[in-house]
Amino acid sequence: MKKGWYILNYHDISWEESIWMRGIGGTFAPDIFEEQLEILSKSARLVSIEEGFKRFLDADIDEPLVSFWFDDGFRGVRKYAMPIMKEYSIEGAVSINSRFALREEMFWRAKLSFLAHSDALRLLRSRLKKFAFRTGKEYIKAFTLDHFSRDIVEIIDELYEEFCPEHSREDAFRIFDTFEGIGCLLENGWEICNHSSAHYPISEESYIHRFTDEFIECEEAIERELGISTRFWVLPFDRKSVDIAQMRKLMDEKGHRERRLVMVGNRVNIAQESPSGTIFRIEAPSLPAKDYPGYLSSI
Amino acid sequence: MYPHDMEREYLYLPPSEDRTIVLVTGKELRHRRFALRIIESFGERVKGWYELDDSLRSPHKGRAISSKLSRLEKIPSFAIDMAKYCRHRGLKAAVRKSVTDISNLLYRIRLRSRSLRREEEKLFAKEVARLEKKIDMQARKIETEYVHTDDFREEIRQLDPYLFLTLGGPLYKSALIESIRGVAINQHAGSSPRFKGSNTIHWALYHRKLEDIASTVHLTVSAADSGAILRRSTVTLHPDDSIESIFLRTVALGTELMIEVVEEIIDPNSQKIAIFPQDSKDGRSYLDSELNFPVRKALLRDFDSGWLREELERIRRF
Repeated sequence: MKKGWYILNYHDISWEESIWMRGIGGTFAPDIFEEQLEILSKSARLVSIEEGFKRFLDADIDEPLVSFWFDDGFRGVRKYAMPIMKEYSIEGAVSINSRFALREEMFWRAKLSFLAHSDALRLLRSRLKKFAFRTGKEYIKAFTLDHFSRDIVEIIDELYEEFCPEHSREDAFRIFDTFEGIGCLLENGWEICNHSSAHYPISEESYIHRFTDEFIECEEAIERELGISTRFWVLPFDRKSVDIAQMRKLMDEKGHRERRLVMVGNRVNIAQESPSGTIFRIEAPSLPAKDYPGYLSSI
Repeated sequence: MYPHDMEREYLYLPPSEDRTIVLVTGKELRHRRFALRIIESFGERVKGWYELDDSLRSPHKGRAISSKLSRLEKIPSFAIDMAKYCRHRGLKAAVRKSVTDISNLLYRIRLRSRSLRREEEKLFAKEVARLEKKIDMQARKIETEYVHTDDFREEIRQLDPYLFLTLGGPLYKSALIESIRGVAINQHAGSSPRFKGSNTIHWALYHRKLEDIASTVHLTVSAADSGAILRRSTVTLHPDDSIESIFLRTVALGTELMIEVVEEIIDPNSQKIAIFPQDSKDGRSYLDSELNFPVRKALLRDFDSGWLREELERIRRF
């Protein structure tokens, strides 16, 4: 592995991958995660986000460093990932969406996952036709990012309410941690990060006009509930097309110069090579744990 | 999670300040993990732990050896049968049959070499060792048949648990279940009501129903896995999983669902819980004997062909 800071990015660590999660991916069972740490610890030094970031800022990375980051604020991070990582004396980072933690709004991609499970996508495809969706030629996941709007979210909501009974809609929030649980991560030295209020595609052309507003709403909730302000703003949905310079400019204009933009990008962090100080992460691949060092070496 | 495809009702909990627990489990590592996780989570509320261990009976080693020898005796008869087959159907058909027989034999060898216990050690041994260090309570070992006796009922009556939690045991008689002053709850590695009984994860895989690779926590009734559901959810799957690792993770998930339910019930302010009654006409109960060689061979072939990886990719591609 290269001399650099590798940050592996996950969604959840849990025995459970409910039907709200299955269509999203990024969940790993605790035994698999534990095996990944064990194997990676033989090829690199496992470090907390705090240490990795400090050495990145100081341009003091003379060995391969590996850290762990979890997006969306799922409950399994505290329940399973934290105790496993404690055995290696490291802390991770969790990026949260305030409306999920406050039970105000369900993640719209989780709703899509539920609809896929319930065979309701055929109806969604039909209802998306008025937005020029071409059945059989496009995927819903990509289309909804390309053409994202509140109208599309409303259509998804209508179908979700039609197919998912009220008791399950309320119960589904249990996949996310509450602010009380996130507070426990904070007390244990974890980095709490802003992932926007509701995980809308704010880096996409279709919704970039809401870029700072969505982050600020989440920031205010974190300040109110946990009494901290975040150092990292983590982009929801960073496809290859995102314009980092444009987003950095938006952050600077609104007075958030000191905050770091974080994305996936599947790159190793090497201080001198990072555009605008952006932090990159690597999506944890669905490979056997023994192949992880080889995979990371190939990046 | 609550099952989304069933009607919700409420069960009003009998009021009690003393919400204690008794556990009855099998003796495998996954069962021990269940008991130890419950004890770790609820401490002194756990008043007793019974472990079902039929090896307490005298082992039948002699019978096992003679059964192996009788199999060896079949070899010459197989050769004679083959010769007869060749005479009646011709050499080509006999060769074809031999190839099928050898292929089946290889599958049988592979099926025998698959060890649930080895996979179980890999998944749970470390955690169970950690829990055993932390927890003093020892299981009282009993034979399975003992749970049906008056003596066992009397023991339970004296312990007087509010919650009677079970994993990996037999079907319990109504008299015992009804004697519990709170609730009897069972953990089932399978998706009730569609897949009840034995080897239900294998059957869900055989039918290629990933949505039924699930664990169910339900009220205990005298029929297999048929009581009202309290929680049911699907397990985390990985493209390189084996049948055994999927089954074991389903058990681990069920244990966490059970803990969630117990946390809800032992809260002294908890007066009612959501339940989802099963319709006895729904789904199917599988017998242990039904998981025969052709079914197990078909399962292996699916896994060999990389079906799971492709199916997981397909589900996420929409």
